[in-house]
Amino acid sequence: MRYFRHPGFLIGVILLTLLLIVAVAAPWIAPMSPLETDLANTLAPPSAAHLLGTDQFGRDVLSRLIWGTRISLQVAVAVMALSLSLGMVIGAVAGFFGGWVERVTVSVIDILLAFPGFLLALALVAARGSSLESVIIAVALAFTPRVAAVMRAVVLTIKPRTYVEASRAIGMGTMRLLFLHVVPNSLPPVIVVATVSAATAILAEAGLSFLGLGVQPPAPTWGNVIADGQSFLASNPLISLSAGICIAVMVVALNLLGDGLRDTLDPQMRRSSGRVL
Amino acid sequence: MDRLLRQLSQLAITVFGIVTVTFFLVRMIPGDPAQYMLGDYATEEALATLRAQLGLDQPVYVQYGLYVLRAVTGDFGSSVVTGRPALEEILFSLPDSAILAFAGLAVAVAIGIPLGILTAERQGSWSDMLIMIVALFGISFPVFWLGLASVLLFSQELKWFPALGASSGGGFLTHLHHLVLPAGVLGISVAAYITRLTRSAMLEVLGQDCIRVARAMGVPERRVVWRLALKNALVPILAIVGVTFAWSLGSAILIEVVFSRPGIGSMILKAVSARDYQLVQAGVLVLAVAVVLVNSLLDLAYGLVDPRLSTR
Amino acid sequence: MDGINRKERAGRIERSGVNRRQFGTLLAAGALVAGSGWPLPASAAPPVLRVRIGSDIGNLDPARIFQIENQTVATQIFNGLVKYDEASNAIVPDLATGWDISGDGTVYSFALRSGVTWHKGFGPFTSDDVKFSFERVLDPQTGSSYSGQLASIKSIETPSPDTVVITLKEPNSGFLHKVSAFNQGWIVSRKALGEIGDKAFALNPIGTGPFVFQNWAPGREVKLSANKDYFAGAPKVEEVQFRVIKDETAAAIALENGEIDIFFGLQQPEVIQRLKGGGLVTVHDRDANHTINLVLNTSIKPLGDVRVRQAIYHAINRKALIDGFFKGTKSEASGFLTSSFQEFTDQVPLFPYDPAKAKALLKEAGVGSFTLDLVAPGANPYDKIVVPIASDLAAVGIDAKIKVLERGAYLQARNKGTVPTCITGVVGAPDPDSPILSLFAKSSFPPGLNTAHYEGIEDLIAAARNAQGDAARKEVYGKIQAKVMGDVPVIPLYADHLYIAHTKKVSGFVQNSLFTMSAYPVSLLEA
Repeated sequence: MRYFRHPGFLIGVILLTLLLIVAVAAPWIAPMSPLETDLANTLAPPSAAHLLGTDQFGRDVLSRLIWGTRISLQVAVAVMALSLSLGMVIGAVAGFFGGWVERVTVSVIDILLAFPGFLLALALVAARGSSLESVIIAVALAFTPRVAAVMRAVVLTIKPRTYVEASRAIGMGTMRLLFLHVVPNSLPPVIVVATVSAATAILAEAGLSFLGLGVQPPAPTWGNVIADGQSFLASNPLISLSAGICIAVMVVALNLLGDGLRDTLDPQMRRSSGRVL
Repeated sequence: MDRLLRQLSQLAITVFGIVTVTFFLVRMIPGDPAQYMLGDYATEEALATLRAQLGLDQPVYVQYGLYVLRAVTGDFGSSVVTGRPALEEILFSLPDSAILAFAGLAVAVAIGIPLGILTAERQGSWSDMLIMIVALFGISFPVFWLGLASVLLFSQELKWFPALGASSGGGFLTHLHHLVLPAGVLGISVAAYITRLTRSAMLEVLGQDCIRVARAMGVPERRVVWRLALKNALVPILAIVGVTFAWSLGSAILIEVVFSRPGIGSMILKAVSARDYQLVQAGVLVLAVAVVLVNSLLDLAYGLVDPRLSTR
Repeated sequence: MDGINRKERAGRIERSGVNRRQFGTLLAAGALVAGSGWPLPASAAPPVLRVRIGSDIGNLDPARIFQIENQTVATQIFNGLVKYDEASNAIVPDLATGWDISGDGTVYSFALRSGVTWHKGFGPFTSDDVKFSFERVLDPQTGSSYSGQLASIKSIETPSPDTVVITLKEPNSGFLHKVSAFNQGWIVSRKALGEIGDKAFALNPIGTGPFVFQNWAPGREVKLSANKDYFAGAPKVEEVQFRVIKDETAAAIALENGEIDIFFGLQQPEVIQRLKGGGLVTVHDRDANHTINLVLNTSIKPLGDVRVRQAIYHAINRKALIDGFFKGTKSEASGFLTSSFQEFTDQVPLFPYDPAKAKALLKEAGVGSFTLDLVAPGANPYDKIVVPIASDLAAVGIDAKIKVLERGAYLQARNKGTVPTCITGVVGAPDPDSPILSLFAKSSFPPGLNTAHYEGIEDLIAAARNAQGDAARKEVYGKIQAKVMGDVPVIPLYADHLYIAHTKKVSGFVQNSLFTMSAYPVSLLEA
């Protein structure tokens, strides 16, 4: 397999697999409940019972991080799926049909791209109230224009390719053409963008939680753990530090995966890797 | 000239689109500004009176029509919390945000572009690997987390820089002293992006035919990279700066919160929780227009960099 | 999007004429734009007191003011007829030098201080300003949140510029509280309001107090300058700056580094401990006049059953909350009043932590497990204390869901009265009517603060109004406390305890129990 000759990609896949295992096995490997408070034992230093200590409510930090893996992966996958499907449809329609459809779509995308993504997510979360679904929808909507933009660009480069012309000459329907040729061929670069959007989604979730607009407490998300630990950075830095490292590891893994996919999946993309953002 | 006109009309349409999007974005936010202003003991009549004063009792399309009409004259209503014109409020905070964003971007460009070129030149070397790993972590740690850690290290422990990201009064040097941490953290996190993107752009250019020809003709490698390739990569690098500008404005919101620094970001955040319709609108609008303007300026800069684009 | 087109363009360029000088000019222009925003350097620094506030101000108009940050800034600007002594909470003269109460307790005559002038040249203060201030609060057009507090006023007369006579509809033994320097008790200038306008006054306040409002930079700071003509003598500092710093850890570092002088609104137990332990600053603390309560909406099932409310009371480990979470920085509360009230009694039904009894009560009431929303405002520590409470409730089979709402949304939800629970504390002076009428009177049903929809003490409220003399008052207020605490419309979680810290440079500071502070007695020592 050519992918596995790429060390970064391999590391990314291994890390993500590990994180996936942790997420799935959370109920069995977490030493304690992530929600159970123990006010007699707050802000305890690391010990055999609490490997990473406890937080201000006496909850086991390690257990919260393990359960947090689930939520973060959920956010990443859901954002990726949502922005990917929405963005691909919009981008493909714009690129394939051309004309006024394209002009309108491109203007709307351009306008939405002018909004800093985090600002857009912030405004949308505020509009819907803060919950896991809100964070997912907000971040996905903030990324949809980016996916759509890349999708359209890719479709534009594929459209004139001879086999598409040929299919059209033999009288293939537009829809069939779209699904049989354009979509499969545009998948690789779009998946690369989606990987980046998943990575950014995790950072956005953490940022929103930090501002108090993310997933509602006491849900054990990594962003909430950082926010909870913020006040104890001086006395108990391990709480925020370990959650920060968890986020970094997952984002690094996703970025490595994205880099690897870009370098190996699509030789054309390799030359112009700057495009993906 | 023609190109300039086309760009200006494109700009006008985009700004109008931004105005529309901001209007509807903000209307989706629940909560009642009248309630916030009058507080705990407010009566229903008092709330109704205030809502009427603010026009919140009218249908959304009427509100939108009035909004657009007034927007044309630069009137974005008044902040319901402060009673001052919303645009004035935002523009009052603009210098703070502009200083942070441009200082951060300057740091990012100063670090990111040379590192990106260097790593492209030495592709596959140890220094390339090391820098790219650092850059990978740079884009992977949440920016607010880096901010919190730097306050702890540089303000609390080392006492080199103030914990507050802005001073009240004091000379130029005082202000600079307060700016170092927030701009540094923002700059380093954005620099990680710029390094990665610049490296890709340079690698792409280095793969082009003209570079291969130059190499084949025996032009020294340093000259190939720093003269020929950089010249060709300048336009994509400018594009990268444009893309990261929007990104750094988003990060600046978090930085402003971490460093208790005033600015448009912290103002928008406050306005969101205060249900201050006008202020959120004006703030989001100003930031989006700033992104569009910076990108338009960069578009014009391509013309300077590449004469062929301006004559076309 | 654009970036892609640019890249495509770039790909087609084989040879290009880069003009580095032009590129440099562009960067320089960018730097210039950024540079033009620098505020001008200040000249030699006069004694300036820098005070941290946790969130921004928004409205300083006494008729509409709320939130401790606004009230703290207004404290420096306005006076009342009378005021609470900062140290003892006794009612002492302020703008009034003395007062007479008629034999039947319905007519209050105040003798006013002469020679007092309004800030910024708005002329002398007279009895007409007092009449104007109170009538303005009572006028429905003003939409004041505090009109109810002055509702017992029948008429206000001004026989002379230095005399004001207030006639009440019926005797009200707590009336002086209503005209004390806080909220509706702060006196405003008729002339200033007429010239500045009702709306603009909110952030251009004119008072008679020790400091004059200078300017407000949103999200950043409020600047006040010394009133050299203050009737009690000029303050000892030239300027007061209230600086908005949300995060307490950052504020603590700033205080220890001398970037600010006073840390107002200190809440975080670990920050309190650290500042105390560090020895670099002085930490004051004092009992507040309010408790923090979990309000149970009796109109929502199954909270309508008193046994369910008592079960919840038994289920919450309030001592663990105070010891474990607050690290002993708050005090236990037996009822909804604190011991700082003259009318306070601890002879009320108590419901100590007892999960087994809680389960038994729930069983007796015939409710098995049920879901309960714990609604809290997104402010420290209220959004935190619900976490262990939810965990306690889960232990007795109640599935508690935490709903933290932004302040605006929280106020709206609470005032609609549709929330099953909420967190409420009535901050203010030790006037028992203030929490009792707000939290438990039928007249305060939503949109008022009686989110519990409690109506068990209507007869006692009427009796309290007519009670004359300290003994009679104490008896009827004792009955109110006993009745309410047996019915459990609210669960007092803890008695608030206030902390404030300042650097060693600050001298003369006196902490009050109103959750505000006065900069007037403060002076700054040379470092």
